[in-house]
Amino acid sequence: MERKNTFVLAAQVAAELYFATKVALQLSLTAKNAHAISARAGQQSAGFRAITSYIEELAENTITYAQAINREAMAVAMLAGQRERATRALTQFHRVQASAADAAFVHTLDAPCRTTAARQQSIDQEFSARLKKLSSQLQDAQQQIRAAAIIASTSKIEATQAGSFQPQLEVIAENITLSSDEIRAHLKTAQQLLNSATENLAKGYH
Amino acid sequence: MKTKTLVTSDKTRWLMFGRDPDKDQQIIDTNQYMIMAGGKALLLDPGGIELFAPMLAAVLREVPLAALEDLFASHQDPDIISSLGLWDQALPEARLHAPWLWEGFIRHFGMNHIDYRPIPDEGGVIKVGGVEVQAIPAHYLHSSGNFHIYDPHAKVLMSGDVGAALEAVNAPLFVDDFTAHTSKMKMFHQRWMPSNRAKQDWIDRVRKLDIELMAPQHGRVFKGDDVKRFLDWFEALEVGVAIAR
Repeated sequence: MERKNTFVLAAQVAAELYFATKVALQLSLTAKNAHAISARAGQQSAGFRAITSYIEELAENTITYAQAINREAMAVAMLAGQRERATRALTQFHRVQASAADAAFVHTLDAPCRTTAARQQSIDQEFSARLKKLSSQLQDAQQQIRAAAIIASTSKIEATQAGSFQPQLEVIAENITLSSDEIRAHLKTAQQLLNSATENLAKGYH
Repeated sequence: MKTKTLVTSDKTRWLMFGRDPDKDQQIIDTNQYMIMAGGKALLLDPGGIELFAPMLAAVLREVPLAALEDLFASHQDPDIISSLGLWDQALPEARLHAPWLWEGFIRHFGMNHIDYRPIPDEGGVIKVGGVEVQAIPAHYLHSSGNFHIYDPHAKVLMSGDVGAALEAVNAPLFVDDFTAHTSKMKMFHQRWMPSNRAKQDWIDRVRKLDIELMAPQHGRVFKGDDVKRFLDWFEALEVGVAIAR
């Protein structure tokens, strides 16, 4: 498989989280809708109403997590871009040292070479730390969304008890399932991309 | 990359870099110039990113890296300054003198360390090793924010795209037959220069300068009477011709 640059991978992680945020916003609207319907349904949907606050909380938490991860992923992508530039400069400096070895002042390139190599190393360290943080944030978000599966099945059961409001609440329960599945898929893709980025780093690719 | 000393005055020395035989054929050939004075150097239109390594190698044959304190970009084009992101790593203490108009755009080439010194529309002076050279306005020739560099000590005008010609990488450095040379310049000036009014303003301004050498960014250098011939030819040429008549 073609190896992707880390800054491309990080930007893709950010994009996945952006999509997850959008779905979570939909989920939040679904929860508000569910709250309104179950309020109208009164006693018939007491069970359903109790879980709407969980759905809202879940959606809000997912948005918060996804936005934080998105920011972190963008920071990693920026850092990878800086690393790419430092690497490119270093490659060019080495080319000059080889092609102009006899130039009177070629030794004056030694200092920029050292500085750029040090910058590259410092970026690598920050890079590694940020990838770890990103991975941990992603795992937290995935943990969070697992709870959605439970809420989705509970809401389906509760919808069947809601009398005349059953069809509306069943649609809502289905929306919760679809939204949480979609968020889970985006998080999973993000995790896979992140794993590739971490493998890149371990192999010394960027 | 070939290096040629163009002229040495009592205060400045001009070097011309170009005619790189290793350059990709699809990349337009460019002339780079460096003014040396008082142990310091100013690099004019450092070139594109593809040219960085041969350019830096050529510079290091002439001056230590620390002596190169100033860069000048006549305008924002990639063949002028897309190497900036790499110079930024090589010369973190340097200054880039470029049109104020293009600052927000030129920074897209990557500039974390170099200090951007915006040149106001009316031009100004740039000091190299304590010696002043002048930034001459050349707006709309071809870029909307554009400057040329005039060195009154060596009587050289670095004229950017004005006087440019598209020709082979092994073309001679100097114009030797002005009339024949016009055929290599005509399309370039008619197509890339958008304004007859801007053209005339520049000609009026430049005619007041004492110029021995006019050094464009592409093609050959004009010397002596060919400078005057060029101004007359350019004055008579209608530019901005790509719009439907």
